[in-house]
Amino acid sequence: MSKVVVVASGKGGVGKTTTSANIAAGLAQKGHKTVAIDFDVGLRNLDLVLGCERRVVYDFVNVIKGEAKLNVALIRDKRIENLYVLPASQTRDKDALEPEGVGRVLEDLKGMGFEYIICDSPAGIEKGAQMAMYFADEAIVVANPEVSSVRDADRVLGLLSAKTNRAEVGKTIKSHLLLTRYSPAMVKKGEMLSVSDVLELLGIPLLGVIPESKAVLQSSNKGTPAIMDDTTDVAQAYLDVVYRFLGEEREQRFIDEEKKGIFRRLFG
Amino acid sequence: MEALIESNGAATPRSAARPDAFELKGVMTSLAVLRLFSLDLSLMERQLRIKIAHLPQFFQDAPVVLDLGALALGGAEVTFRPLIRLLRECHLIPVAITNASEAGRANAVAEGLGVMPYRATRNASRAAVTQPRGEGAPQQAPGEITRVVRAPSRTAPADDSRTPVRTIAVEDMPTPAPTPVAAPPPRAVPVPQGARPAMVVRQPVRSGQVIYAQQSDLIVLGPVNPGGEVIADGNVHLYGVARGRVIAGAQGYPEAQIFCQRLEAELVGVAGAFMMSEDIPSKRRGKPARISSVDGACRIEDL
Repeated sequence: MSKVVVVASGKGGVGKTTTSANIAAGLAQKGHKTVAIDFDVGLRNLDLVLGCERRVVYDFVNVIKGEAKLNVALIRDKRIENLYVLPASQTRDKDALEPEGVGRVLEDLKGMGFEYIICDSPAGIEKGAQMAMYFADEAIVVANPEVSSVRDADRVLGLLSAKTNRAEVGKTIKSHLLLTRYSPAMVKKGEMLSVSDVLELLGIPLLGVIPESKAVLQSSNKGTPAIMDDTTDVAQAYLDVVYRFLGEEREQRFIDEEKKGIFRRLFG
Repeated sequence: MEALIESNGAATPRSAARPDAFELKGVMTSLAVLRLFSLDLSLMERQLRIKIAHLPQFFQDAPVVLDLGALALGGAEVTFRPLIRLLRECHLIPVAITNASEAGRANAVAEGLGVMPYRATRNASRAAVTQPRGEGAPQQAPGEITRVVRAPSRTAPADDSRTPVRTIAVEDMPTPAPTPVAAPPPRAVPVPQGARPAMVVRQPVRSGQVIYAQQSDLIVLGPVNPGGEVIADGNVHLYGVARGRVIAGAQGYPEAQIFCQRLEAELVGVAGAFMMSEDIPSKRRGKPARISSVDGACRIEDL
């Protein structure tokens, strides 16, 4: 049974690609055959974050246009078994994505036994984003604890409930909220929206909170998903997210400020 | 009544699974209605050209519906061919007729015009001749009352001049605004009398979505989020938090009201009176409220 999952946000720079990479890597680590597809045609990034940019020969658009076979275009991750990437084209534009082609590729991936197909949506609500969400069964909506990001997430949720294949046949898309770049200290000072503020407005279940951390930047520069170094809080947070996504109960962490002991307050 | 939520349709991706030849959709659109009082074509042409000169872009290739209800024989006397030619010369495209008698309908259909049901809101002095109540008569729900009032509204967007084709909810629809009127000034406003059942929306109204309950009340069970918009010709009842824009009495029904459990709206409007978020007194914010229109201004009271 395959599941198509879109990672969307509306607003750019909130962590869609980081989230796609980490969740795909996490699901693969747990033994699920997973592919991450970059829908950001023209602004290819997912391959960088997953560290396979040098191995890109063919891309998603080539496959849609029938210029390359799907199994040739797919890049198998060398570090994580079960993880595959279908990169975006850097030279085409988003008009190259058309529903018939995208639907066909997704069906072929299902036929190849992929359990999870993670669609990394581009920012915005234009064609690329619409195509990424159109065939989704579930959605992970990424937002930062900040007013404009939350409003854009709300807009995306509206589109998910109206402009997708499931919506057209009267079904709903199960949507999860992932709050990224969260800083409990700033929330405490009233400089950031709190988890409850965001949840109250968006009204969808919380998949997890990813703390603001340098580890995200470092891992993306290295091309190693943060989840692979499980000593960091970001990795822990994404691991929790993966477990919750797979249906396990995990208590929410990283929401409240860590109580610093006297030593850490002095030396930390 | 049906609630469709969709956005600017052009870019909608279509299903890959079924290669349909077409898709049939009910959409809300506005149409100019040309209400004919005379069949003097030269008089009509002169007046039309003056009208069009004021707003040339608005009328350029605009589809128009011919309202024959004010003509003595309900259109039976109209020779459509020269009339259509005249309109097309004026860059108007007649697409349908409404309020016609049986004979008028037959003539129009023979000339390629469609027939539209249209709840006439006629003004007594002009409409000396009663509308035939046959099949060609405007469709009214049983027991529905159409009361004629002088429009007190500044918004009344869809009175004589424009008629919505169907009840809908559209995304990114602009807030109703006064529209140029092709018909003479006296206006009549249909008053919702509860004959149509209220539209009920169960999902949250999210940013960018617009829900419009035409000719009825609107009940929203979830929140109306910032950037979302709910509009009704009748009353609006909000059981969730009202954070977006809320408009009742969109066509000027003066008794319309907004009832909400928690008022945090960006804008409220009732029967043409509006109040922006910053004008809502802080003691009313976040509380249950009832909003009505009194002397052209919004009044907020306890629920």
